[in-house]
Amino acid sequence: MKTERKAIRIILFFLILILIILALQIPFRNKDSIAPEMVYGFYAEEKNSLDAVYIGSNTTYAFWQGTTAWENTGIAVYPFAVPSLPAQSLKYMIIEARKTQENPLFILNLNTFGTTEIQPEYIHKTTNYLSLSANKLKMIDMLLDASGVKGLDRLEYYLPIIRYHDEWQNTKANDVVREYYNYKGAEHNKTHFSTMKDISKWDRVIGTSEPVSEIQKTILEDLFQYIREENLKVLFVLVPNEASKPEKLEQLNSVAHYVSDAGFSVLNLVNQKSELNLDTTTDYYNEQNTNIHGALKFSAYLTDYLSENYTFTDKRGSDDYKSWDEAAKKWKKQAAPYVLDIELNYEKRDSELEAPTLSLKRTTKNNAALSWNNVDDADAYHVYRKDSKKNVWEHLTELPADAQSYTDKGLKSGVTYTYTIIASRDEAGMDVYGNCDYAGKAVTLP
Amino acid sequence: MNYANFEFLLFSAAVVLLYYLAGKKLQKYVLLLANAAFYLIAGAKYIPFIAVSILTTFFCAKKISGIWKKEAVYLDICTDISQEKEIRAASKASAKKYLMLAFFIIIGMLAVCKYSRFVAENINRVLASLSVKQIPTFRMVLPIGIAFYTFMAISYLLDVYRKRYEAENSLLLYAVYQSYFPHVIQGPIDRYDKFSEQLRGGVALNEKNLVFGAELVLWGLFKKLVIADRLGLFVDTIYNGWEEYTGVVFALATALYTIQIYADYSGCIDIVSGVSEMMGIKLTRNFNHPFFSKTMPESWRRWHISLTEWFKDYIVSPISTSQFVQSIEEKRALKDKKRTGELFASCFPAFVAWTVMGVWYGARWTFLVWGLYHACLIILGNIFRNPLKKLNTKLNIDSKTFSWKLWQMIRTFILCPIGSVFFRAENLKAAFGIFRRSLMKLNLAGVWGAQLYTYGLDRNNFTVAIISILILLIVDMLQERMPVRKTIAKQNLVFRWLLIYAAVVALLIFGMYGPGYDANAFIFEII
Repeated sequence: MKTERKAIRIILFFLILILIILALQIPFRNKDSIAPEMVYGFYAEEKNSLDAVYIGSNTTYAFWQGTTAWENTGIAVYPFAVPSLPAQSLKYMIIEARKTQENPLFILNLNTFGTTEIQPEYIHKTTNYLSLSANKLKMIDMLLDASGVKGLDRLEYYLPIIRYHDEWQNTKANDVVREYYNYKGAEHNKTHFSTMKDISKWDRVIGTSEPVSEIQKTILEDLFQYIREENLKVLFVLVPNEASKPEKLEQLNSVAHYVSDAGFSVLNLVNQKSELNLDTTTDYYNEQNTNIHGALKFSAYLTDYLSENYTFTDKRGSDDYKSWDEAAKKWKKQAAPYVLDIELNYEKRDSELEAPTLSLKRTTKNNAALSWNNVDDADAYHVYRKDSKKNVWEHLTELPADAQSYTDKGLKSGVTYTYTIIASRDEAGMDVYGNCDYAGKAVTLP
Repeated sequence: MNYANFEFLLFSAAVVLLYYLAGKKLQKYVLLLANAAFYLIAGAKYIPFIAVSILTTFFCAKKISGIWKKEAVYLDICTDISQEKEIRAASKASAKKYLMLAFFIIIGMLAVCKYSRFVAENINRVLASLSVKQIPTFRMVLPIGIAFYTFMAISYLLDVYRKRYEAENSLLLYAVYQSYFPHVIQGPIDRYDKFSEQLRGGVALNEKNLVFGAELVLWGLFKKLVIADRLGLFVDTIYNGWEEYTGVVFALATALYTIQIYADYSGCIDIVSGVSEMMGIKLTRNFNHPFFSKTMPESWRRWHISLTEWFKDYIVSPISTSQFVQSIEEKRALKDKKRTGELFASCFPAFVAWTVMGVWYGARWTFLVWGLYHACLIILGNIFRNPLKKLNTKLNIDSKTFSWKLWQMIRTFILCPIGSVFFRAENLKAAFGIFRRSLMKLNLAGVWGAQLYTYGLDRNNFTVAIISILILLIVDMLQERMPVRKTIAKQNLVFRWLLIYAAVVALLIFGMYGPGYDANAFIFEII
């Protein structure tokens, strides 16, 4: 056989082999539950359709719930975020986002600056799902250098199958077919919906006692340069949470000041829990992240802020954004057992207005007797009920300020009924709602 | 030293590339450098040992050859028979001196490194029971591959001594042979003449060598990473925690261990043989589907062939033809007990060989018992061969049918693993404990249903193990009947490429490699 034909054969053989090996990386990689959804969902968005791209790590998508924002104001903001994203990766994520979204507002989560020491595990978590590209390779390279991984040990980060080939036992069709329902980055898991952790004991005023570190400065300056060169619209955000090490928050606060001193827009919410009306006994699922209740308050606040400071059009009703309507509808169905309508509708809240303490008794066969304490400043009480069949919180009745009890009649046997009460006060003709025990109290009729 | 890893493959690929780039004249230098680099990574501090071994062997062999050459010259000139005898005797004595010198050095090194500590420890045990002061035990020094390259050196020296061929003139070529990285650490134990004739003139680039060699490497990796290391999880659980188990599970673990050891060792041999084949040097065959053996002797001809051949040529043969054995055979014949004489002549050398072989594997009592076990099987086999044949004809059993052959294979597969228990158990206490515990209770429940998947291999992994063992069986069966790689080469391009791709994919997905696993070094560390 002629040498040219042979050479072509050999090259073709190895080319196909390489393609096969690359294709194998898809079902065999870090099976983190949320990264594929976030990343694939982002890539699936129409080109140049997003008003803003919100980049960061866990605190990004724990706090921001884009479907409710869409429903209330028609803005399209997607959280392009992956767990454990280190600050060094922010620039590369922006570059990646700009491949499909040319000039949105980039909202950058400053909480990522809590992670500047890179553990090798983060590299898999944050890069496995990005599309193969020069940018991805550069990002991996940068992360490997920063984490000190050398030589042949680096190979697994380019070819995750080396570490994850054991996943053949867990591989589902989803991994290959990439069919993740696009919730536009909104969380929809049980932890986020139903866990309430009381983090009030860590609540304190955060100062700036811990200065910005050298490595953080380097990353920031590099980021600033890129933003200026590319003339990007950027908003930096620091979300309000707690940390078991208060120095960390102090340092993040310093970072936020450093950024605003450099002339960039910063929304520093670190001491603004009361502004957002966050209730630290019910609105977080751990020290770092809000649950759905806190997230909806945060989303309401940020949506408001964006509406006031930026000009985004209301795209509700537009044919091009039908996917957002569908996502919102589907997500609401998932959230319905856990949230009240006033949360979804971004009704005004007041964290100073206490949650009434409910006691629940079963009277005669088909009745439930509710009683609660008087709440200062309350102008009305709203009773919500959830039954075990429909499993959706429903507004049952509104009662005046002097009401302290209520009897719910005509209940069915064998069904579990859960109740909760929220107080409201009148402010310029609008209802402002207080805190709430979202778990409620339950009673089952025999 | 683990061959089934990416670093070794990369290293081999680089060596193969340089080897052909260097051309026929410089290939030996490339190999010497490669061997040195390999040994540096594997165990740099042991380089002095292998260097001494190579130099001693080379120069002593040259001296011996020189003596034989002189002898030939003298014999040519001389005319007298008695002079002839003198010349021969003198030459032999001279040559023997050099032979013994070489043996003293190289076998001495091996013995001291490998066995001194074992001997000292056991002497101490005895001394301790007699309450006498203990002798010092030195720290173990285990030069990598010393058992293998020493045996290669012995075979070379004896071949030269027996005038099979002349000693090598090129130190380079001999050094390459003894330090050859594919076989220096775990065999096969190649013979010098077969090795050197392939390399001496240089090797031309040959597509078949490259392709066949690469296929062999792939197959070896499959056996080692997919089968052997996977079975190891199960075997380790049972053998390392043997005190907790009873019954049939030991039989299963031992059977799987036997397969594991076959897949591991033959897999590693395939990897290095494949690499060597890519460079045009075919190493001697080491395995020939041992589990298709119908008799124990046949199984030894099929398992670790280079080792048993070595023992046959350099231990069994010399002992059988030695004065000692011959004289006993004659004496018994004279006493009209010819049979016992014959038996002694066939059993005694085998007995010695197997005992030594057991110890060669390692300085452990369990290995010695293993050797003795096989020695007993040989002896019993020899004693009962004729009576059993008579029994067969009486019972009208046709020994040529497939069913009989199958029975024979099953019988082999039962006898061998019994020995394997000694091979795998950590010590004699464990080995006998395992036998005892396996007979204590049947405990079928231990291997039935869900319980089966609790010994280190869950259901998925167990399934993969079984399927891959079946693949191994099929391929080995095919190989018995046809040269598999040649047959593959004759098929269409698409089929060939798909087969290779499938093998690579299977290896990438099911292989036990990567950061999740401890590198499972070569299963028994023969030093």
